[in-house]
Amino acid sequence: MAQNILTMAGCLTLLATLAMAPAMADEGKLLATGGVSQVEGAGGGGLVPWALISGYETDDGIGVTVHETYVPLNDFTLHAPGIAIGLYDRLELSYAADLFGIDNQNLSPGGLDKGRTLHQDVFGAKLRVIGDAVYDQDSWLPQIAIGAQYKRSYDKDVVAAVGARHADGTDFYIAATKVLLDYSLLVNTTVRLTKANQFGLLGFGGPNNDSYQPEFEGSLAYLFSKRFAVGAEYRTKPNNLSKFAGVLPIAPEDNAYDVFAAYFLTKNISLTAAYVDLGKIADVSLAPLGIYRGLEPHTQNGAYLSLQLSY
Amino acid sequence: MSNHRLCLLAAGLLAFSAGADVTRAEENPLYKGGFQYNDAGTTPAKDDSLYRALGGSEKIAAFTRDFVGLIYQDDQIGKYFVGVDRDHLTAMLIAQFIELSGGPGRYQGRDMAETHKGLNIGNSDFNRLAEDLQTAMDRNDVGFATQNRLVALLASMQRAVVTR
Repeated sequence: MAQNILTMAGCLTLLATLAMAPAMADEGKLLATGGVSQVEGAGGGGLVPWALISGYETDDGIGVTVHETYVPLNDFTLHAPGIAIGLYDRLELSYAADLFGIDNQNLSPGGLDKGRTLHQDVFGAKLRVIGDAVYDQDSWLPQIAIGAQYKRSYDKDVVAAVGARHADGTDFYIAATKVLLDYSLLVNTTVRLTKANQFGLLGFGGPNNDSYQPEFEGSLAYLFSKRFAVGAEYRTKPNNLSKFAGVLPIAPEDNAYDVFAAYFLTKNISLTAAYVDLGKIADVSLAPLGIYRGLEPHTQNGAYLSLQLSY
Repeated sequence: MSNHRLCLLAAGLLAFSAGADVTRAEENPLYKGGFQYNDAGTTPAKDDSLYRALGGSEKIAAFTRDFVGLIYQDDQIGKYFVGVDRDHLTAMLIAQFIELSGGPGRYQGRDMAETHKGLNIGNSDFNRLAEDLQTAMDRNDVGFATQNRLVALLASMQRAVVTR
């Protein structure tokens, strides 16, 4: 009930801001300088939140971006639609749903039935603190932003089955982004304090650890043209869950990475395609004998496709 | 806009402190390495490599003429140039781009903040000007990486030019 009221309040705030947007939209930022949308909804690369504020509005306006992300992996499919509002190139508010569909029938113990979709909501806020990634070409100072992502899982049974401590939690991060125009490069480093297991899809905290740990994330992109950038990202993750703590055997959590290409058709539309590797997510080789089919634990890798529309 | 204002605006489109002395193919003593940080408020090129990459004076003159054409017709920023002598502005910009990129010649301009004071220029206006410059360079076959090197030298002017 409280969750529904929170969601409703969030939606009304978004709608109110959207109603104001037409009066304040000039799409004044240079192409590609709002970044794209990462899997948890924040502006950045595909995996990592950056210090850039989503959208094309400058400090004079409010802009909205919506995105749709589809990531077919070996045993799972991630679908992550979301929306972000960029206010005055200073504050970013975002919402994303992480819908993690289970395609493999060998994960049934603990509730991971084939055909089930795990669902996590992520509410994000990001504040640009200092610096401008594009204008500060004559200084070493990057654009720095701090952010938080509140995540809550709808799958309390799975969270319990894997031995996680909480079904919801908040990540805190600080990101530093710099555009080196002399080299047509964008560089980003993010440090995130988190307890999330597999981005939060398997709850927060666990037998190995239930306190905040810093994780390191980095992105590098090369701008080939005004419209086209390629790059790579890397994200380290905690390892809070232990293999035998829950009903479902859990593989140690791996780091995630991707290599991407982003195409900015116009200031209204961008497309990102990537190859992503999220490491092992559940260790199918230890599934009960009755349904074990001699599979090796799979690395969850595959394509990443994202469409972003900005207004 | 009066001729007096024209001079100030045109001169102010690129910032140069009075007396900035850019030598030709030698190292610029004001260059400090890394991001070409310069506490005189300008970012001069350390040598003439960008000038040569832009195609020298002729090519710079060509894209600058196209650039001025675009900004005069621009539906967002054209208003700042109403009444401004176009030929004079073009000639001054050419000289400024040549010097900024490390080419031969010297230009002495006025302080950026002073010349743009009162114009209420916003970030989107500043960016629109940069986009027009990119378009002009595209049309004159300047490679994107080279375009970025020129834009890098102009970017820090945002601080003084944008007052809104």
